[in-house]
Amino acid sequence: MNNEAISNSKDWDATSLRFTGFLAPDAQIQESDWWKDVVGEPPDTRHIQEKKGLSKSIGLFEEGNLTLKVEPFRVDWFYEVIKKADEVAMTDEVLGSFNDTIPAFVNLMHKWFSSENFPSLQRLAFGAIILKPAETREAGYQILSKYLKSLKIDAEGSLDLIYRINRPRGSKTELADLKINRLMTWSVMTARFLGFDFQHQKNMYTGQQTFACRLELDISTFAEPSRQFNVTQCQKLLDELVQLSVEISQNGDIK
Amino acid sequence: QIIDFNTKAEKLFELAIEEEFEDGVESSFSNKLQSFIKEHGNDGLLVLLPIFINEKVNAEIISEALRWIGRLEHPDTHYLRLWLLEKCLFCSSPSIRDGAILGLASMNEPAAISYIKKAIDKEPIGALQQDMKEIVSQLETCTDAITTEEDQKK
Repeated sequence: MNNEAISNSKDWDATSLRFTGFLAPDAQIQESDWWKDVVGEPPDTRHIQEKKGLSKSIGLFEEGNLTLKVEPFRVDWFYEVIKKADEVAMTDEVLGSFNDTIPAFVNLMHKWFSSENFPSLQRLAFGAIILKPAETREAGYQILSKYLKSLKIDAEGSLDLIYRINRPRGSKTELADLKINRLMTWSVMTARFLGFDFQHQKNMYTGQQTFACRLELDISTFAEPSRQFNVTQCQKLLDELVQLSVEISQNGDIK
Repeated sequence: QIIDFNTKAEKLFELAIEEEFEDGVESSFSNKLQSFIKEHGNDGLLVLLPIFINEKVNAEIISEALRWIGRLEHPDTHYLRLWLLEKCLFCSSPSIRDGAILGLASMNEPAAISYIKKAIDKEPIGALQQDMKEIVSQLETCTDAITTEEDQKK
């Protein structure tokens, strides 16, 4: 497969997006207001584990579920597929194309940043898990080899390849001294539906095996204990973290 | 494993109720706490965080814990221990705030200066505020010493 084919090949599809804010030590936590500020109505469910200092709010959003998870040290917003109970191909369980899915989620986060109860953050991260279908495992490795130019992949003779690397860069925002981690994990995954044969009382695989290239992205600012970001910086940094994610999904592992 | 951490962490603080603490003197509690953090690293600390922040345990025990968390030499957990000490500067209990400032003094980490200054602005107790100012001076001296050393290397 050549480079032209990569650019013409099907876009990556997103199965989950994540924004993580690491709270500053003096941050005021008003998580019940955060959901309301961003979504405008109460969540469908809310779980609290008081001993662990953990709360989780979940509700429907666009094509999936939105989850707000609050812990003493960090806040996570997840936008994820709703798991289907019936037998579907792995690549059917997606939110939509990666590029198309991003704007709605990012707009939501910008809304949170601008809200009255937005807490002080010390560190930001954007994460995503995205898939690109492949006919076979070997075809998947061939696709990966075009994204991972510094790696020589034996597509026919390999199994269980996981390639993880972090390529830090400096921020292009006004915070020129801030470094950004670009952590990416590349693999080819297989999926097959596991059902239960009640007649014979045993598990059995049904349906066809499906394959997909899998890219897990974790783009985050370096941990610096004296750092604290204002609202404008959060907005610009999130846009930068997202732009770096899209760049990796298009160009692969580059410095 | 997470269930084990929670049980172990709770047990640590339950056993501390019977102990009497002396300034600067290691106790069975402080030894076990330090061993817990060394063994379980940041995962163990994350389990301890709510115990400190929720202030549901005896404030004197938390204060004692914070002093020894600051003294611990353990690079892997340095960032999270620093965060916890800074966080406790803003707790409602004066004992906890006192433990936090003593812990930060032991840690000797200049990165804490900005949060200590914020805590000074909010601190209603004069003696504690004075302690905080002294720690800031200590840390600023440390920063100056590092800057001088770096200038000399140029």
